[in-house]
Amino acid sequence: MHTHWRTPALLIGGGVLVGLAVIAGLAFLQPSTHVFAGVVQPEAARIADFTLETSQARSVPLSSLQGRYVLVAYGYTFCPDVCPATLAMLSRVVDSLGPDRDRVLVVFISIDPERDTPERIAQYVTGFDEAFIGLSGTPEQIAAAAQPFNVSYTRRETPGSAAGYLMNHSAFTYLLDPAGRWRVTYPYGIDADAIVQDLRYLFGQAPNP
Amino acid sequence: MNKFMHWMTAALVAAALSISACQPAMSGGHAGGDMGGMEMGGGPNEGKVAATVGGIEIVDPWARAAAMEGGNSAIYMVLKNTSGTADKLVAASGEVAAAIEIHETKMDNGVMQMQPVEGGLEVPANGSVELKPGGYHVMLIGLTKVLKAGETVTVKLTFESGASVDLTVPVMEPK
Repeated sequence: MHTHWRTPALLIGGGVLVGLAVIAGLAFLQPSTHVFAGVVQPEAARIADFTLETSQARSVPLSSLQGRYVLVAYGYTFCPDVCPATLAMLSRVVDSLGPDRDRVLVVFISIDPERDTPERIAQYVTGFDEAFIGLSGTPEQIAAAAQPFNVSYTRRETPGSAAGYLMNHSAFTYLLDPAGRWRVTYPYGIDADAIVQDLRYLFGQAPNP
Repeated sequence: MNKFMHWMTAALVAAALSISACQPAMSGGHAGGDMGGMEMGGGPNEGKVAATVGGIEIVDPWARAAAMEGGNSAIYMVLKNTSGTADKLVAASGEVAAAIEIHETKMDNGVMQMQPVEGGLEVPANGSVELKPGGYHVMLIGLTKVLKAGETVTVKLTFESGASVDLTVPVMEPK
């Protein structure tokens, strides 16, 4: 009695397997299955431009950095804990990219212009990677630079501490594409490898000419 | 249940496995994860007792490498209380920085907040407290020298019990 259905069952089972294998293969080939490690902007849009200062007394509009992927983070040199952790993570990102590291710029923007001169922020970030760009400016420039990503930062007086005051600030990392469009937001604590995977995916979407 | 059902089940399971295996390895698993479990934590988790002071064991201390003299950094460790009496880390001092304080970082909806720990950091009786990136830390304010991985720094930790210890702390680059 078994032999009555065994052959058709095998055929159907085999057919299903082949069908599913094809689907699996398509899923593999279809790049849109990439899951970004951060929060993807629903619509990639250019952000409002802003201009900050570098250590060489040079004004740098953010838009002048277009042509490469830009990872932007905000913080301050007085920060002993979260900011160095973020910068160390970002230095692992560019190290992991190997020869592709030139396709990415890392920009660290001070939200503490009172303490962070352009020289000081540059010295701070290049301690993590020589290619990192540290930017500061006047309080007005910093306010304008915080706006596009809705970065919040507030000064907190700390009487009784040698710190004098500390800054509360958003600790996200933002990814812009070479056209200057905001694509992904990464939370603090993200794995360097996760960002590398996203960048490699994006590189694959638009290979270097 | 018959063999046909077995086949279908096996085929579906195999297919599901192969589909998920074909997905890029990345997932959003780290997004919004709790800060305690993050790999940025860096320090070695060997569980080595570096010093004992009173009933407190100081486990795996490390200082974050920092390239800028005059800048800041932090020292992390686990404080383990082997006694039945609660204690507090009340002060830290040393020549490595102009000032050394006990601070806490908190993350509130993506906003980093840091503040001094008022009145000392409690080490519960028969319990422990972890100083780690994104949490409690011994804050070094105004480094008197660059902190290079592989070197050590010395800080004196003082507890509420009155006991204190000169602790040698290795400088590390968090991995």
